[in-house]
Amino acid sequence: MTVELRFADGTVELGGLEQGSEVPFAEWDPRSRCHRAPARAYAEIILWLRKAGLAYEDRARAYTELEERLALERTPRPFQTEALAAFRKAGGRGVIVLPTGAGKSHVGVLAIDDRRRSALVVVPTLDLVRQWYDLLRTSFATEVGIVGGGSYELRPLTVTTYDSAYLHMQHFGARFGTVIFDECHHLPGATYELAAELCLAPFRLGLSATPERPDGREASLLRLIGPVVYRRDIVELAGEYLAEYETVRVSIELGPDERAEYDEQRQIYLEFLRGSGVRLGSRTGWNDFLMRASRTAAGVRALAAYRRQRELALASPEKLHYLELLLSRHRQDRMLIFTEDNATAYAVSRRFLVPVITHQTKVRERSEILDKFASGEYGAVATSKVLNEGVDVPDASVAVVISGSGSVREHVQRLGRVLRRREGKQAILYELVSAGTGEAGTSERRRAHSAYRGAGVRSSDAEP
Amino acid sequence: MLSPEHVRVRRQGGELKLLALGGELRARAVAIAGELAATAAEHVGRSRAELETAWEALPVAPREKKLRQGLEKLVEDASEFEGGDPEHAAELRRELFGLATKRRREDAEGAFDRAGIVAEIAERRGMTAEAVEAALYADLRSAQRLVTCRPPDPEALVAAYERAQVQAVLLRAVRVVADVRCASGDAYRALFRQLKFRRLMHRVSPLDGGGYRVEIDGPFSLFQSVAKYGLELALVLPALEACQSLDLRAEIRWSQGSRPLSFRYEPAPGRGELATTSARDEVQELAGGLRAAGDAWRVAPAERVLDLPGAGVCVPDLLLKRASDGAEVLVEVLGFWSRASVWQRVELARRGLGAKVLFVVSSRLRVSEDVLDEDGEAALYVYNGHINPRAVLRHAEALAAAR
Repeated sequence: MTVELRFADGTVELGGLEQGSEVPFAEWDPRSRCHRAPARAYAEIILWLRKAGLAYEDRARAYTELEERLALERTPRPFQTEALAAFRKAGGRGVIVLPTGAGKSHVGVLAIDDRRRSALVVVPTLDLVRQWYDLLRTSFATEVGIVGGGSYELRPLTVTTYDSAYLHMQHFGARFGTVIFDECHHLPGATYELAAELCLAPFRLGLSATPERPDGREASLLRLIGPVVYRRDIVELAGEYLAEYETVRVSIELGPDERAEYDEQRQIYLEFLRGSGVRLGSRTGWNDFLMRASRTAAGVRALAAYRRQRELALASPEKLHYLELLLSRHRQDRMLIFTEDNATAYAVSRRFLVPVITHQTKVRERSEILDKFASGEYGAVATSKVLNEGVDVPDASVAVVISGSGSVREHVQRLGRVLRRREGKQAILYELVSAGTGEAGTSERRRAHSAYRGAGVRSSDAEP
Repeated sequence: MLSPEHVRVRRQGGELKLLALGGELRARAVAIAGELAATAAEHVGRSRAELETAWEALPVAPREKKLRQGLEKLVEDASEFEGGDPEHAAELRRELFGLATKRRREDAEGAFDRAGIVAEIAERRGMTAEAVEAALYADLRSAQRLVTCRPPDPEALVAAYERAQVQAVLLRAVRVVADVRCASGDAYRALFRQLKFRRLMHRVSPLDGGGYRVEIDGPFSLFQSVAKYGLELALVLPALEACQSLDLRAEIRWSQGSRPLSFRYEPAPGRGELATTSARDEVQELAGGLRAAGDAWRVAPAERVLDLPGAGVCVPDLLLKRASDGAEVLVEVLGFWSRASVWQRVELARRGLGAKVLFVVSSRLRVSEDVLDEDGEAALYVYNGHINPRAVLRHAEALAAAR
């Protein structure tokens, strides 16, 4: 008897085994009268077949040996060498945690070279697709495929987004022997997880600066990728491998009119909360509020009031006035301006005539903006969230957070954007917070990380 | 297509139910549809943002909000928008932002004369400052101009909304179980072709009283209830609705992390496009010829779906029943279909169809009758020109005689 393995839409079919046979990770599928397993289990099944001494014909594997060698040899930093060794020791499966700016992507390149299999890199944004595309092309001196953002070109080295991987992995999941999940904290979740489940790759690497998630689902990274095999913290590498940095929280008063409107709108919103018995702190609090708000005219008014008071706190005219001072002060530096929403990012762009990158910015224009920013032709770039992660802007030394969520990860990532080391570079992150508003609490929550404690941290309500 | 956010539903125990648009609310829906369409018509030539603001300002009660959003989506689907030239806008931004950076750096005090910079660019380009401001982000979605808007009349729009809701619910389906009955083999075939095209998996079982139960999900569904196949399941709906009768039940993962809810949809019988479609002309012609050939065999439309898990589905067109002993032979007319479809039937026959089947194939497909041995369950009749009913009966006799 010969067992035949086939890749079928993100699963592995095992033909030739009797119903009732025990196969690890596989189940009998009455729809096709054969055993079936998630593609993720391919390597374990092959090992089991070998151990059991069963003859098999492998028609599932469609990945290839990687012909290209590293064309650009960069001496790895000691911690990068240690990370690769840990990955290798774990059998080519695991998560490496390094702070932003420490060179996670280079560890990824080394892992691809080490495993020597066709490789797929999965990233959260199109900006990171572009960045990995450039990195792989120059590192291996070969053409690189892209799936996402209107492209669908598969090559032995391919970069894709989590969205595209979720949509298409069932089609191309057998073609890669190595898969890298960059910013792998995105992977756990009902949808993106399938990108890992439907992929055959025996070698799996996760890269992240902050794998922990508020919902605790990072535990599933163990199943989808492997264990955390190496970890270094931001404070361990600051100075030697990352730029020295300072963080400044600036407390800004609302103007008298805005303050009056803020208080009025917040009152409407809070009164509705009290009246309806909704506890926002509970697990379902926010959804309860939205549900109740959609049922009555008072609820609709409360939701509108909530949005308005938030808008006043996040994008007050005084914050924009302060930004004007910072743009003037740092006019010879390279500055990234972060906002919570696109509307504020475009408002900043219009008012201060700085380029903006949002999800609506076309790939070509994004590339051009980042190139001009790197060359110094642009001194500042405004963005909402799309530059939070991974994008490599080594020359940026100033980050201004006009507004953001309460997410620790987002705030650490934003800081990370200015931490890439250069000789003599002193990075600075300004966080503008509207005094006496709900934003102060949001700021406290997002700063709960070692990167925001220590000597380089100060608060200010004075001029910069 | 609507998205789940546009759907009016309520949960009742473990069930998800569409909220009917009855009485007053239906009248309101028609009125809202009319107002949305009229507002859109007034906004031809204006921006999407202006249209959306105008729609937002239309007074609706909180419970009508989803309805309005769904109807908005359908009016949008019937509209055409045109964006500003992205190249032109990007070029303007490049010039303006480059100059702004330069001017900011040049000033020893860091003073920033925004109006002066815009005026300088306007002069260079022979535009007014206002035109520069307007063109700066003219390529954004919100700046797109409404060119045409031709929605159906309000009643039809509301009816379309009601139909589209079912499909929108199925976008979050993890599994569908459909009890179907079709008037012809062609309708069954169209359904199974759709399932195969959408790369969905199915199990078929006959129902008491005729028709079939088709359980549909995807390969990975064996391990986990996932909504990944929701889009495909939603896109299969028209093929299911095309059946003469349909009783659909689905497991829906309506919100992330919640347990699946059950959903039921039973459209009025015979509403599908193919519901009344009778067999193809060549099948009808053959049936007539077989009846005219004598009483030895009785002819009836076949109502059997032969499902071979892992191999495929065979849907015969006719059932021949020998008057003398009740022996049955099914007939599928492949005619001029592709050679691939013939080879697929041959493969099914070799695996064992569980019934005697004669495949009728044109000689243009260059397939030999010898491919299948008439001693087995299935046989090929290759005809040249027209299908000869007597030849069909000869093959049927031979098949009936086989063990």
